[in-house]
Amino acid sequence: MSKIIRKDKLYLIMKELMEKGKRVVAPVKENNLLLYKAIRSPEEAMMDFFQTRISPKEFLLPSTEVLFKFRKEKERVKLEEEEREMQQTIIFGPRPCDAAAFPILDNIFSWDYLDELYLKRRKATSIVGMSCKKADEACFCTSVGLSPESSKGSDLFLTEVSEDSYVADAVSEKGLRFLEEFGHFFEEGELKGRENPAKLHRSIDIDKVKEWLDVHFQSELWPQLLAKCLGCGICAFLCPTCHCFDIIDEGRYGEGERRKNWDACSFEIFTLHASGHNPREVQYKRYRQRIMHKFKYYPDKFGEVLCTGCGRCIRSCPVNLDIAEVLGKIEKEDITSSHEV
Amino acid sequence: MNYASAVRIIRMPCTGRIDPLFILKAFEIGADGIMISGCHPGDCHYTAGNYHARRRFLLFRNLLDFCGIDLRRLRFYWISAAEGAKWVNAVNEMVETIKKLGPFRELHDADGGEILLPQEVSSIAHEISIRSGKSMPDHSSSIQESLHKIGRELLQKEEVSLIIGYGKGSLYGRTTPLMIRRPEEIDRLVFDSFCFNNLATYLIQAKKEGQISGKVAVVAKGCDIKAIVGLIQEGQIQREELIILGIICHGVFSAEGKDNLAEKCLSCQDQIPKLYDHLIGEAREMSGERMDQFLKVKQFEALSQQERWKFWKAHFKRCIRCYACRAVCPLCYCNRCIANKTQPAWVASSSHFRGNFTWNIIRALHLAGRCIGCGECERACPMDIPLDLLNLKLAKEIKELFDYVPGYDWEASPPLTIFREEDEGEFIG
Repeated sequence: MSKIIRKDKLYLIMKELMEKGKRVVAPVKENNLLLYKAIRSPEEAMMDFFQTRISPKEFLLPSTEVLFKFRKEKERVKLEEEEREMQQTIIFGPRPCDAAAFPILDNIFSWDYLDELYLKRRKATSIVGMSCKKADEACFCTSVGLSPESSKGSDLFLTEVSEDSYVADAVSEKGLRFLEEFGHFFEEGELKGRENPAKLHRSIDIDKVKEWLDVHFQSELWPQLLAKCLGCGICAFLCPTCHCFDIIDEGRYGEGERRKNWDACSFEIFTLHASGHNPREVQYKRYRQRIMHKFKYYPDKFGEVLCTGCGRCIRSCPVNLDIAEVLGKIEKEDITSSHEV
Repeated sequence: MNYASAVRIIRMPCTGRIDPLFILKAFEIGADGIMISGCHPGDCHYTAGNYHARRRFLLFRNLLDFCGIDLRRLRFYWISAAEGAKWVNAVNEMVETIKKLGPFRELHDADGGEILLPQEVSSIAHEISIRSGKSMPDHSSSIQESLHKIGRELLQKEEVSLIIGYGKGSLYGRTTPLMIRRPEEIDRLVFDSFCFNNLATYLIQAKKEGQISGKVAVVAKGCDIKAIVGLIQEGQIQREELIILGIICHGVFSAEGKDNLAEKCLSCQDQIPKLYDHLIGEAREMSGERMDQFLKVKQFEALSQQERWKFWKAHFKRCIRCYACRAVCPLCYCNRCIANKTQPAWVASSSHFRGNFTWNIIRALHLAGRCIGCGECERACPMDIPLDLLNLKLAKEIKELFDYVPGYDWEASPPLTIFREEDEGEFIG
């Protein structure tokens, strides 16, 4: 179902949602930094934007969260797990690359163990995605099966059709209900010519990359391309699809809490064993894991890649280790060549 | 003699054993005030532990003050075993003060914080860069040609096995670290105003990972070379292992795609490197005025304690613990960073404010007297935390209090490994 909505009406919807006690998340500008935040008033939302620094995944998978609390009581340890109601949340603004990440994360958190906290949040969250008019040098969504107009992962998808209005497509049940609930803000209308979607500069044949990855876990190409990685976690933490986490206990006298925190395969201690042995003893092997997970292991399991081409890891890498450039070089490799190391 | 019972005593062998991290940890797990009491100067059972402690505490205290912590929550005393009455008074006074201040909620609440720097502070650098006519860096292409010529020779004659330099980046306004091992690849080396990475970091990484056999050549600007001096001073690399390709630098841009000069370049004293094997580039007269390196620090110091606290609270809250600041820093080379230790976990690894506070303070403190001001941590930070402001604050303190500037003399004793009897101690009760 499609309808037309004027841009200024979007803010009225936000206002109404907030009045109904819902959490509204949208891009907010702080100095030069654009971040998804729970807004306090619709004026804070900045809907004319290119891309936020971090993806909105933190609203489903927070960078840190308490799993349960523990307390020592005489001879016993008492565990306290609070029953958590997740606040109904509407995220306005995710671009196709950010919205598409949610179904990808859903696979991870529900294929065997059902991750209660993630799934509860997911159920309570609706995504109002938006198409892209702009792409920069780092964007490569079209190489990973998406496009500036892809509605994958959105419940309601907005496409700009003129200076002052969007076409709103209901993509899911949630989206349909949204259109009904706020029907009075929408207008019936024919689709006038859509604005030109963004044009991308990069193109990678991801299937060809996978063919090479299938048989080149060991190759002298890896250290050549990846030796410059310094092992920070920017790429993983800014990524909409990276989801690895660590579980830690934080204690004080006789009490504490178990927490789930973001983790990154680029960290040296990610695979460090208690014995002191580290199977990924040098940095290029850690970044290789990032590539293998995204473009081989996840596709082997779920049939799609663990990357939406948002380009954040490329823009923010302090040493300009460009994953799309690496994939481009792999694509040009001769699949039959074997330089074992 | 009685004293207030709201005190929990933690016995340490010597004030010299007290790491600032112990104090941060105590705040993190709920202490509302912390009192450090130790032997008088000259009375140390271990000769000089308290003199070392005095230097460390002085810096630590000034850094906390800079971050807007109310210093009434952290007091230092010299109290000997024979001064029972002084002890009682000090404890009672401290407990009284903390009761008035109340619980240290600001550290545990998620709320509060104001990101905006007052206008006058944030616009200074920009103004100066315009006034001085130094808003644009400028490097001639002859640097690149010289680099190729020298580099090719070094590899051909097998004087070095590896050259660490800059290559063309994948985005506009970027270059990327490049490792060259064969003479025929030498033309891939570039040098321009986007060469902001401090490549000294790779000397350590390459060594740790066993990538180095024989000598290494490294392309380095004046600021980068100061990091190399620090690494030699701390025994991490040997001067003889290195060929330094020193660049006469006319500044780099502040970040990718930006067209203003990096702030560090506005006060640079090292356009012409002081240490090198080959000097590359033209030694031109530098035009325009130089910014006072500590101008921003001074402006920030003039804010009220509340304003300073709000500022850092908002910034530290943003920290996502990606540790990019640590990864890019040439002097953060520990095999096992304190933040990675789990038993005990000295620095909480969760990205809540109190954990972020400890991490950001201890990172700055571990670089005190060592940081050479390349500004890489701040450039790398994806959350735009002004880390260099912390580094500069400590650099200012170390210059003023201990008359020391790091990065020039590898035979000098680092300021936190030595002391003077006349070091300032007025903050100690």
